[in-house]
Parts: sequence; C-alpha cells; structure tokens
Amino acid sequence: MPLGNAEPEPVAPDDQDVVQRVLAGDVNAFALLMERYQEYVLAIIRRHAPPNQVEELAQEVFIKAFKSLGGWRRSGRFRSWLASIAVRTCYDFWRKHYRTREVPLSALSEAHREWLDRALTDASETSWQDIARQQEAREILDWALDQLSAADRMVLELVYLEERPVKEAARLLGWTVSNVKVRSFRARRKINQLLLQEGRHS
Amino acid sequence: MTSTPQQSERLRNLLQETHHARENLPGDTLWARQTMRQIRHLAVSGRTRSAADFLEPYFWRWFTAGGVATAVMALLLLNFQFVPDADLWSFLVYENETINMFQALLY
Repeated sequence: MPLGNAEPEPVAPDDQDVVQRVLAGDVNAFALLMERYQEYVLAIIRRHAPPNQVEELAQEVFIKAFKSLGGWRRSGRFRSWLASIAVRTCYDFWRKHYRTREVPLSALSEAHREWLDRALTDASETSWQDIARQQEAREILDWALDQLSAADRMVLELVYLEERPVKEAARLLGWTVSNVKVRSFRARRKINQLLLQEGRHS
Repeated sequence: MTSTPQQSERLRNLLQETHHARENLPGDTLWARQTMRQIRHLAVSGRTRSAADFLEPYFWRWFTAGGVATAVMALLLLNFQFVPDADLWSFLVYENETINMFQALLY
C-alpha cells in the first residue's frame, strides 16, 4: 500500500500526561493546556462577568489552576475541574464587586421598560436570537442581575439561563444540591417579579 | 401588562438568548501570553525560595512582638533602676518625669 511509508500523525498528549509533565517541572507544557481550554474558559467567563473583566479573570483562572494542579483528582475530567475554577472565580469577582459597590441601584429607565414591554408582548416573527443581540436586551439583563446577590446571580445564570442540571451547578459552585435548589427557586421568582413588574409600569 | 405563563415563558427565552449572546463578544489572546509569562515566573520563584520568602508571612508578627517586648523590658529596667548609666537615662527622659509617671501608674 502506498500509505505504508507515511509517517503516523503525532498523537496529542492527553490532559493527564500534560499535567504530569507540568508537575514534574516542565512548566512550558502548561501552555498546551491553555491553548486547549482558553476558548472554553473564556466562554464561561463571558457569560458570567462584565466584558471588561473577562481577560483578567481568565488569567486568574489559569493561574489558580496552575497553583492547585497537584490537587486535581485524576478520576475527574480536567475540563470539568477547570470549569469549576472558572465559575468560582466569577462568583468571587461578584462577591468582591458587590461588597465595594457604592452607587445605589437605580430603577430601569423608561426607554428600557418600553423596550421590555414590546419584547414580551410583540407577536411578530422576530427571532429571540435577533432580539437578544440588541443592546437593550443586554442592559436589561445586566440590570436585573444586579438586583440579586452574588450567590443568587451565579445560581440563576447556571440553572435558569444555561439550564444546567442542579447537580452540575452544585458541583461547579461547590455547594450542596439543596442549597442550589432553594437559591435558584428564589432567584428565579425574584427576577420574574422584577422584570414583569417593570414591564407593567411602562 | 399581566403576567401570564406565556409572558413568563417569553421572558425566559429573552433572558436565556441574551445570556448566550454574551459568549460571542470579541477578545484577543494577549492575556494568554501574559498569563504564561506569569506562570513561568511563579514556577521559578516557587523553586528558589529564599529565607526572606520563608520569613515574609511572619515578619509583621515578629516585628510587633519584638517592639512590645523591647518596650516592656525598657519600662522594667527603668522602673527598677537596673540601667547602669542612670544619669544618661534621666537626661533622656527629662528629669525622670516619665519614670515618675510610670511609677505612679505601677504602684
């Protein structure tokens, strides 16, 4: 066969091998893990943190991962372990942010209320994707999430907005399943009340 | 506007799509290079730990404890006049006024 002399494709080392190399002192091997997972980590952070903080938090996530690499249990997937570090880093960011927040929370502007009212009652064919891409949608979501505590915010995003199973959200946040259930229920009720009320006031 | 199950459902769709739209915001990869540089630096500094690195977490504790111990010793020495050159001390503390004050406090 003509393919007989062809060189075999180099097989990319799996995460466990790369981690072993890093732990053995080959720090540059960590760049492989970063290349492999940077988009994944960025996607998580973009969903949970403000755009101007994304890169800083991504940096923090990889540094935390490097420092605690020895604590990664080989039985679990590296990707899931990294995801939990990313989610907890975002949670820590919001906790700090809320603690130092000085500006009092304002009400939703009249223009936003009208936009929300239209979006919720409009029966036209405009797709949700098109509506969601509008600046107002993001501003309203950010406003609503700002009304919640850091913990409620994270749990709502994971369970209600991303539709992750409660068990997975609990693992990512390092909480108990019942805590996630209770918090997500309360947070969902609060955000629904807030936004439906605001829409009604317009 | 009344809140019906349909509106709750519409609100849910709106929030979910807006949340997912955030993923596609643009970014660059400069941070990744900076992170790798920082990690290399961390690895190097982790391997070559100096005595200063070891003492650093305890520095302020030792510094405070040392200051307090010195002050207590000085007070005791002055109070019981164990200092050989008492004149010098008297001069320094302005005619023994400070010592008198401490003595009044102690007795």
